[in-house]
Amino acid sequence: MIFAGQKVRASDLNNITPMVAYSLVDVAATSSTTLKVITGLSLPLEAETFYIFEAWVSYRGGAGDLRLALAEADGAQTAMAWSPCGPATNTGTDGVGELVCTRVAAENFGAVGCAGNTTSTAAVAMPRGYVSTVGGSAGSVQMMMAQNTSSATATTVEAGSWMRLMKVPSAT
Amino acid sequence: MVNTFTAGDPLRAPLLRDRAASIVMLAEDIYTLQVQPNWIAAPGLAVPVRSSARYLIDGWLGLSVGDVGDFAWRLVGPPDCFVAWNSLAPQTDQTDGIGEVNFIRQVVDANPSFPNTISTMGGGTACGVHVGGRLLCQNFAGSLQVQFAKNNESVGSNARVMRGSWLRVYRVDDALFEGVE
Repeated sequence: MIFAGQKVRASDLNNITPMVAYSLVDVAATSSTTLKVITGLSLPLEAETFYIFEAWVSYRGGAGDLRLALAEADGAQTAMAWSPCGPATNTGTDGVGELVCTRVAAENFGAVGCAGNTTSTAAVAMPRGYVSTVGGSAGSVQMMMAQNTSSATATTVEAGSWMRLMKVPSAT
Repeated sequence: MVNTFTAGDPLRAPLLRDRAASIVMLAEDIYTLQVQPNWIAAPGLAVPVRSSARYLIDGWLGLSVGDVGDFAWRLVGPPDCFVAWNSLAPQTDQTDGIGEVNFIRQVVDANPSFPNTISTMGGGTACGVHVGGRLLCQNFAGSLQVQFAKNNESVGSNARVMRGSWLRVYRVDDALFEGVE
C-alpha cells in the first residue's frame, strides 16, 4: 500500500511492477523426456515473498506431447503450485481437445503438466499458479520442458513464450 | 488509452494506487463439508473495492473435493454491485481436472451470484481454475470475495480451497466500460 505524502521508493514501484521473462529462441526436445530449461524463462525470487505466476507457452509437437515444469534454481527454497491450462494429451489434433486444469501439487518441483498434440499448428498452454519463498531462501524459478513421452518427432516451445511473476504484498 | 501515465503527471500516491493491481492470496488451505447454499467465505480471498468504481477481475484458485459432491463457488461483492465472471475449468462429473470446459458467463445483476461448479477430483488431485470477469461497485465499498461449498449433498471429503489461490482486481477508468451495462 502506498499512502498520500509517502516518498515513492524503488521498492514501492518494484512491489507493484510485474516481472516478465520472454523467450527469444525455440527450445526443442526430441526422443527425450528429460526436462530442460526453456531458455530465457527464468526470474529471480526474493526471500520471504509470495508471487502469483502466469505464463503463455506456444508450442508444437507430435505424439510426444509436451511436459512442462516449474523448478527452483540458484538456491531458492520455494513452495509452488500451478495448472497447465492447455489441451489434454492424446486428444484430437491441432491443439483442440479437452482442457487440462489439473493442479500440479505444491512442493512438487519438476512435476508434469501435459498439453497438446500439434505437429503443424502451434498450440498454447496458459499456466497459472503461485510461487512462495516464505520460510525459504531467495534464488530463482525457471520453466522447463520435455516431451511427455519419447518421440522422434520434436516437441518445440516457441520463441515468444513468456512467464510473469507479481508480488503479493498482502500475503506476506 | 486508459490507465496509463502521462508525461508531466506528478507521481502522487493515489495515482500509483489506482494503477496498481490489488492482489490477495490464501496462505493456508481451508475446508468445508457444507453444501451450497450454505456458502463459506474464504478468509484471505477478499480484496477491498471502492464505491463508484469499476474493476477487471482475474485469479487462479486451487480447488479440490474428493468425492462426487463436486465443487461450487461464487464471487460476491458489496451490496448493489454488478459482477459478471466465468471460470476456465472442467464441468461437473468429470475426473481429476481434465474434461470439457464450462464457458458459461455467470451473469448477475445483484448479489448473490450463481455458483459455478468444477469437476469431481479423486485421489487427492486438485484443479487449478482460471477466473476472469468484471465488477461495478455503485453505492457501497466493501470487498470482492470468494465463497465456496460442495455442489451436491454427498458423503465423504471436504471441499477445499488450497493455499496459493489468488484473486486480483484492477481499477479501470469509466471509458473502458462505457456502454457495457
